[in-house]
Amino acid sequence: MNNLREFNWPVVFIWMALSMIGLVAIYSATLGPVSEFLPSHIQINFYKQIIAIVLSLIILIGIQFISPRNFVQLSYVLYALGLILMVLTLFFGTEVNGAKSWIRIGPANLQTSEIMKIATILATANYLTSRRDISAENIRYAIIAVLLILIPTVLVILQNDTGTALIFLSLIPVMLFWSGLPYGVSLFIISPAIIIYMTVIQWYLGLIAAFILSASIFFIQRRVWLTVTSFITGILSIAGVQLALTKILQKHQIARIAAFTDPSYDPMGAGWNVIQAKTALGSGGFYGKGFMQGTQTQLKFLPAQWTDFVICVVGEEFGFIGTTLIIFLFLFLFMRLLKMASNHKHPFAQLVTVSITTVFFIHFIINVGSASAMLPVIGLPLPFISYGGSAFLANTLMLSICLNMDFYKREFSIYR
Amino acid sequence: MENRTAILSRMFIILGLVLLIPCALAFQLIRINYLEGDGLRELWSKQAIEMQPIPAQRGNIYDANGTLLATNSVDYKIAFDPKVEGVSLEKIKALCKNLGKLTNRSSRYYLQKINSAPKRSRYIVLAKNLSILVKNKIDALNLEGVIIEENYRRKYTFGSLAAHAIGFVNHEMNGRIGLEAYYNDALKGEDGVRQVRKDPHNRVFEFVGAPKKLPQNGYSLNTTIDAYMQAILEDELKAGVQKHKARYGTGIIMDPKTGAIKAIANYPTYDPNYPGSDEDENRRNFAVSDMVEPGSTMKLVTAIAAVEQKVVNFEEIFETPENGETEIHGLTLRDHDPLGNLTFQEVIQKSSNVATAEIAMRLKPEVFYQYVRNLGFGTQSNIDISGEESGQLAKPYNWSLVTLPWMAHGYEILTTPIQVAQAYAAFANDGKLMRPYLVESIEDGKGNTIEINKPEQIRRVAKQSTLRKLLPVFESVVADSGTGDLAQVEGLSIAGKTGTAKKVVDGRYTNKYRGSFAGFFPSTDPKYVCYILLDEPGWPGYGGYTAAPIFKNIALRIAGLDDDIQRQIIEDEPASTQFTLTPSLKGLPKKQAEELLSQLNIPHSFSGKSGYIKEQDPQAGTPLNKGKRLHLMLSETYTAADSATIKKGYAEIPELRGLNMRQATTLLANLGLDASIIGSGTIYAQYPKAGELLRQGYSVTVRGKAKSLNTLTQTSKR
Repeated sequence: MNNLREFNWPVVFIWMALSMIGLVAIYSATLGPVSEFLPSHIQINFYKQIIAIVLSLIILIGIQFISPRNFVQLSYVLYALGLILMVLTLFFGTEVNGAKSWIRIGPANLQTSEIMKIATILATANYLTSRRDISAENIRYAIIAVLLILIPTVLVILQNDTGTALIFLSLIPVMLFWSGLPYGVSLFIISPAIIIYMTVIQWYLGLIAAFILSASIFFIQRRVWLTVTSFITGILSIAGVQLALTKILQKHQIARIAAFTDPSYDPMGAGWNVIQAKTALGSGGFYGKGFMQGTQTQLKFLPAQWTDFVICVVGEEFGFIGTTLIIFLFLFLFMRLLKMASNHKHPFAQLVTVSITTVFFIHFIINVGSASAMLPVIGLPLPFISYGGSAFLANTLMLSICLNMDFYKREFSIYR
Repeated sequence: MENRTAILSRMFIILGLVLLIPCALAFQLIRINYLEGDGLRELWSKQAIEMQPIPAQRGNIYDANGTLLATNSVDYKIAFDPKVEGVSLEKIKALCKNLGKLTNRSSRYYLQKINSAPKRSRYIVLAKNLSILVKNKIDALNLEGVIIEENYRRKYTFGSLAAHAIGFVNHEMNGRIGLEAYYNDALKGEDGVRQVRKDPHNRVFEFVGAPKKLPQNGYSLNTTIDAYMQAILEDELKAGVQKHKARYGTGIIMDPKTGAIKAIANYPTYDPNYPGSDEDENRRNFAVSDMVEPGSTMKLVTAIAAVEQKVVNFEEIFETPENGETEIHGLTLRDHDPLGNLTFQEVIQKSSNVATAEIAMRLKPEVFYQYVRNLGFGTQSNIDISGEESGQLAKPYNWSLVTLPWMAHGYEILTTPIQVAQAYAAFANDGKLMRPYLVESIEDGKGNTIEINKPEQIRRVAKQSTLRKLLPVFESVVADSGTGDLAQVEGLSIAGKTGTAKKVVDGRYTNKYRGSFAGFFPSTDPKYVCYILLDEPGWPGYGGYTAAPIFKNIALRIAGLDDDIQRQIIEDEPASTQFTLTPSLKGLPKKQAEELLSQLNIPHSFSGKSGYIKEQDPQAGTPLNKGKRLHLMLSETYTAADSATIKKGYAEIPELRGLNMRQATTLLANLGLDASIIGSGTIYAQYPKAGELLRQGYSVTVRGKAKSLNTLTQTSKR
């Protein structure tokens, strides 16, 4: 056992702070005056969350007694187990809110994709860092790494959980970039996402983004074929979005996308969530309306206020101060984690820490972005704050792994 | 080392991204809070403050005996919310099937309603105006998504009974007239509030949770109205209005001791359950809102003022002109008939305008005004009903020279019927003017009394002794020779005054009249004041001819309701209802006997052709069962055998009991006897007794009924 003073206490403190904020928000959102509109199985969410936090605390402490080597050794086994669980879920899973991503284990429902996230990160990191040259410039390695991520992604999409699939996909550029993929190529990989986002807002913004990104790629990489490909991809993305918006997508999906740019497009339908979320955040003012005083929350104007829109509860009842506190806590967490990653000498630890940070980060921006109408509504929980036992356990597990590797970084650095 | 720096630089790029995006988020939050904040806050308050009232139950209205006069009926509205958890197609079908069965419609009709509703609608109204039976059955199905709402409607248990007193409510359940309006705040209760969310078309989209505030049901009113008396009043008023083809009629029955209104009615009336279905005019409560010149009923004020100010004495003889007309300051004042010489009592009894004017002019206008004012004229009586007028009473300094004599007999002043009733009530109540009121107490739904209206004495209007002196005067009005003789009720002592006022139409006196009668009974111990007014009755429109009979019928029927009065009648005259005493007809010519009997309403038959009555069966003085025939034998000449026993110059005194004064005087006059009359009304005692002989020219003393208790004081005075 190492010196306990070397343990990264600030991260634990942030973890504690976020989960407590989460408890307060969940309490208000499910057991406040609003509870009379809610079925009883929702009302017990607060207590379920407490159990999840207690269990997570045990895991967090328990993990610290394991040597980080175990993660390397167990990564492939975990990955295989995870895949089996995912497939089982496809057949025997239970459906919640349209996503068939839960499997019943004893008294608890387990969201298998949460476990799969960890397994995928560990396995891909192990694969990429056990190559002799860690560079992803070797295209074969890169492709295998991408496949390692894409297989669970496909399974998640089959489970009909688009939000989580986005998390998996976002791991691809991050992991490849961290393993040495050239800047230009990395930019090329993420450029379609940016262009599509811009196109959804306005098609010409997409075009401008495509120009700027292609130009950037040219200046970084000085490779004509990459630049041309990137520009063509950009144009194709714009055309694809236009085609999707007019032809391919279902009406409700279009409505959802349109609603994010213009909530008044369908105020009682897809725009409802956006309007209510913004209203909750906006009406809170600087100090908020007070604990359990928010009418948006307590009159159940907010959709999914204990999970995806939990930040709106905080925003309404604790105001701008509350939301800013959350954002700062997350920023602090990300910086801490990245600092951990830069302190690691072993690439596996670096890659795992960065990937885990990415997972948190994407969750964070998509959740807050959706709630504040910067992004279309994509159902993803806010780590450590939103209600959700599996997610909380999995997130804590990921954080514990980071803490563990940080704690044992000296032992770890010997291995390569 | 190069590797390390590469990784570090990648570090910084990631760091930059990590910082940049949350900054964007923070910027967005600031934007939402401060740039869009106002709009969002407005939107928030709009959707949060979308409140809907939960109607409170309006309080009930009871009569004095606890009979329910006004209450609420409830009907139900069934709506459906298809978005509630647990709704399935089978359940919807079951609901539609059951609703169809219960409402005699096809289940398809309701399915169609659900299907054709907007897709996101969460409030589809399926059926309205459902009975509690249907509601209970649907409730018993216990289906998810069924919304049952109550609608309250005002229900007046007896339809038009006491319609003007109770009033009615508008569609918002606010009282419009009567008690419903006056006590609207108490009756209404406080609506609860619930929050609803509405869709852009302002339809209720979804109920948001439990009520924010539960409704506070309205208070109940316990009124002083007696449903029986009210029914009697309305019934008789209706009969009277129809009989006399009057435009409308108004009646008030009041307890003089407390001012409690027992009944208040107008005819034509309306049904408050459907207030819109009758003419507007029918909804007006003339009893409090009609400002009219009262006519001779106003002579009460003159009489009180004159007697109390001692400007008349009872022995004084007033000479009225032969043609019944006099001129006062250039204006002609007429009596209805030339009345000749009158005592003060006869002035009132026969309602002489000329003499009343003469008496009034002995008073100073200020003094007279004070009496008028004190008796409640010119101000609102403050009865607890909406729409009361104050009437019109000019100040003495605005009076012309003729105002006083004219006001003395009920012109140049506008009064409301309730004011007249109130004034007579003060007279009946030994001078204490009481505030008329309709509501005894206000109760909440649990039977706790919230407020009690105690009888309220406004002022004393005259000395008790004055009024005691005046009582026989006003009793005489209802006696046989009075203008109000048609108000007589056998066995019941009544005091009152008729009133006949010419109507002003377009600023001119016309030949249209208002006939009225104000009176109270039993006058010995007044329990009921009753005022009847008919507007534009057919000719002759005299109050004594039109309103007095209505009063009589009402008094008769109320006497039947009131045990005390009934007992009094029975004590006084045990045979009054079933029996009449057989009059003595012996020696009368046939024609006269016939006249007398038809007046007494006794069926009779004659044997013999013509001439004088020789024998009668049954004998005079024996009780005659009602409806039983009186047989009379005639002889051609007045040579009755028994007349031999009568000394010349003497006459056998006939049985006078049961006759009225006029009949008795004619009868006695025919026998050559004089009559000395004490009291008035039906004769209940005579001296000497029937059958005795009395020298012609001497007088027989008879006592009239209408005086009962006061007889002693009167006789001692004489």
